[in-house]
Amino acid sequence: MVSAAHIIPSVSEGPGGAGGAPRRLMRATRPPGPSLTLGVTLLALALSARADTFKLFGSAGAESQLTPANPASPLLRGNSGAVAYQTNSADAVAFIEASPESRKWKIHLKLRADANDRTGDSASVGEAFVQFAPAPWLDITAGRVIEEWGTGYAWNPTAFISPRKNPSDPGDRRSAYRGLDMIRADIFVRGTNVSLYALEGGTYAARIYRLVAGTDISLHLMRERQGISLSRVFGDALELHGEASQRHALAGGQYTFRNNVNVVVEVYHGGDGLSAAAWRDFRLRVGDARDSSAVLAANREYVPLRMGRNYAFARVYRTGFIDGELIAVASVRDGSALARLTLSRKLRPNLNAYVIDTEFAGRRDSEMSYIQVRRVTTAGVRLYF
Amino acid sequence: MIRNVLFALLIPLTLRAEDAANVLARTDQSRNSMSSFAVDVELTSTTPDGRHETSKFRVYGKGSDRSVVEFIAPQTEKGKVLLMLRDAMWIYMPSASRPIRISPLQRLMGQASNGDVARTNFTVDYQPGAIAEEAGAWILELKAKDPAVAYNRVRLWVDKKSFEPRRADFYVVSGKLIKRATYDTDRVEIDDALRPGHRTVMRYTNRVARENPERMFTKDALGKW
Repeated sequence: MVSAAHIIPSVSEGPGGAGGAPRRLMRATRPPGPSLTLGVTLLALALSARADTFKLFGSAGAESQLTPANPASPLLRGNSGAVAYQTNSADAVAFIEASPESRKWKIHLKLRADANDRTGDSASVGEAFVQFAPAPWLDITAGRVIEEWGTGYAWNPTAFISPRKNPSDPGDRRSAYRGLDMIRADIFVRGTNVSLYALEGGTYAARIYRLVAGTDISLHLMRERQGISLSRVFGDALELHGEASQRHALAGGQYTFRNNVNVVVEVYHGGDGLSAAAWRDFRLRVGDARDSSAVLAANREYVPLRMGRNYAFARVYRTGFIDGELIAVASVRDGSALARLTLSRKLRPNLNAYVIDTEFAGRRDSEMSYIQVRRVTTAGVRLYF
Repeated sequence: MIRNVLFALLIPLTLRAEDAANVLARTDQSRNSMSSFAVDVELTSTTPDGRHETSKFRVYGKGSDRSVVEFIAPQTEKGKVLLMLRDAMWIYMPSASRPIRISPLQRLMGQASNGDVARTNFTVDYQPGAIAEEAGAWILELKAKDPAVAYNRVRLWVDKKSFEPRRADFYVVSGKLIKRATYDTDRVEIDDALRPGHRTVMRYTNRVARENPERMFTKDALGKW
């Protein structure tokens, strides 16, 4: 059976490949287990009793998602019954922070629980770390930490140790990201910040940041991978940013109009996407697939927004009586695109209701024509505490 | 002779510029005399149809051009932190787990921009020009030092006795009046000049001297402390 969770690019599917932490690294983080994370969680709970400042905040939500099958998709072969039409889910995420007045140390927990009528229930520790400041110029952090590298909005070519973003939901609206177990040292010297990482699995990484003449400049290093990310504000409303690493690059910007409309535009090149020839081969394999296992294998291989090398992204956002967000992502190769409209209304200061609709468009044999659903419609509510 | 006349004319002009700079410095001093401090800010935004929203922030300042704004309420915004280093701004959101560079025009809520809440000082961003007098007040013409500043020009009314600001009109490059701020003790009202009836009131409470560590005002430490 092919479920919507498998075919719609989702943050919950986990990172991997370009612009996200390597699959091996992230797989290793999945089981919370009796590891550094558990130890840190217990230490954090013990230390919180000695804290002067204690913060608890987060949200809980419930939503229903409709995903009518796309019988025209070659990956379904008309077998529309294989796609779950409706999925109901609920989740709760809590952030807990505690620190003394001196702020010499801090604990941070991000705990998450999920219930889903298709995939079952689960609980996870998204973050659990203890942070100390042994000197004014040094922070030491140990535990599970979400590290977000890069300046891009929809993609991050330099996010070597970060969760992979879903370009159609780059904001991680359900706070589903999960971190890596690590020991991190942040050194602050004369306006330059150096972060050194010892990651699970014996991997090391580093990031160097400095604000140079109003421009954010970061260098990112991990084993054989190196990258640079930049960001700068021009005037009072325009921000431009860019990122580059081996085989991956991104350029973009955002502009805020006086009426509070915010527009983000980006172009992305991912060298590990499929070339035109590789995409043609994939289509031939799908066409030649005779048994269900071959079709299932093709479904696993097909990941929307990763079947090409060049994509364009646009987002228009406006707050008001009803907040509106329109995201469009297009494959430069074949022009196929997805558009995602979100309308949300604050019913109370701590309660949001929203409707999200994602539509796909593209000619036959284009990347989006293979997606197994006609659209994705989500309606839900989220309570903040 | 002509040189002497020009010289005689220049002296008062120079004095005027110095006066304006002094008045502005004393105005900033009257608003906040502490070099390192924390203050609670409550921001209430109302619209002509009577709808209103309230946000709460804790602002940590150091020197004249560094501040960190911690979002306290509503619950939907809790956990966000804004850093302002002179005219550069970043926002940290717990869901994004990283500081994002933003422009000064992006708004926190209502008529108040990020800069309105985070900025505690006129001198950092504005160069005083002409100065005039009106009914017990100095009127200063302030010109933005940098095009990145959200408002290109400000006309500021300052009480001649207390040097406290009374009113400020904010203009954009085109010369259009965008906002009008009215100052009272620990309270600022901001009216949207383009949309009559849209008003934001900022209230300041619990202002205390506090030794904020240097590390708080670095982008990479944002949200970590």
